[in-house]
Amino acid sequence: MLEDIEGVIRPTEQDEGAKTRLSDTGKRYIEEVIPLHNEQTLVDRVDEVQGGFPPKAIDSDKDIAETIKPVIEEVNPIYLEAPTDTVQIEQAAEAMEKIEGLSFDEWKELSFEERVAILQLVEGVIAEIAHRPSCVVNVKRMDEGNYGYFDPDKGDITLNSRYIKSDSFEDYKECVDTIVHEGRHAYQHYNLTQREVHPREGDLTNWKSNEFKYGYQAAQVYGFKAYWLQPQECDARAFAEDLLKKYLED
Amino acid sequence: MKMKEILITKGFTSKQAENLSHELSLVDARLEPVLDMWLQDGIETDYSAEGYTIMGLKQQYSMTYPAALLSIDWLLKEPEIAKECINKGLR
Repeated sequence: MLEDIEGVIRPTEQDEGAKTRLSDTGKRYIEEVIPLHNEQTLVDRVDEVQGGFPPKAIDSDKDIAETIKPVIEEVNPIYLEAPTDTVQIEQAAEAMEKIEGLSFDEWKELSFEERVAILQLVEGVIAEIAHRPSCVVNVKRMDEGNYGYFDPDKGDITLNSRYIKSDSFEDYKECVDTIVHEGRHAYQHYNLTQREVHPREGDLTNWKSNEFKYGYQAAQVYGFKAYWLQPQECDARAFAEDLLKKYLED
Repeated sequence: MKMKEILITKGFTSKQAENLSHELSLVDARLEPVLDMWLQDGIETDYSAEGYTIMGLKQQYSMTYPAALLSIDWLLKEPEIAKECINKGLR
């Protein structure tokens, strides 16, 4: 039977902005499920204690992180705080170097289907590092200048087959840039709607403002300027640029 | 009828119409006659800037007419930045 959990962290008007601490009751409430070694039960308990929607990473609060330390290795990373962007980029570049077929010299020799499979692998490694579920990668013929998109309703990524089929180095770079860029949109979406795993509050604030206050500014509706300057697009471009640079340099 | 209301009659959501009407009210004077013709009579007139056209952008990027017009507006006002960004395409 669950004990009364009065006294656990609940945001109140007085608490807003103040740092909260895990109460003894809250700590016991979480500790009591640790011996069960049941990930979902643990996650549900921590989410209940932390409150808020979407829920935060279950180790984002340092007191809770300390409490769940004995079982943290058993928890799927999608529930845990993601590395900083600098670390994500470093780890992703390293992981991409190990993907056979991804280097341009190898890419040139691959069939279209093999190239798509490689891009799916890239999406998979980046998703794992970013602590988010990976997306299915689709392909479709689109007009020039349309490189791809993330569909937030379906949770998948679609790339322009035109650039995957091309053997030019410039188009190869566009393909890699695009898979990283769209994956970053998937990461933003995960943080906005499923779980806040991104460690930088300022970014989350900007993404939320973009999404919920102003609305995502699709180029098809608002034109290029509004699309280009919005926080979610600036962030995705910057992340992809930095990762591509690191990958190609190393 | 106010611009926002006209945009809603053309199928935009209230929020889209709100945002768009603000931006459209600030377009370069050279685009005002073109915009007026679309708002009043639904006629899509072409206009070019820096090698791009309203109809070209509309087709290439599946844009609505006002989205393409606002893109041309950006090219008129800040040609170098706008060209650099538009050349990078959509992701």
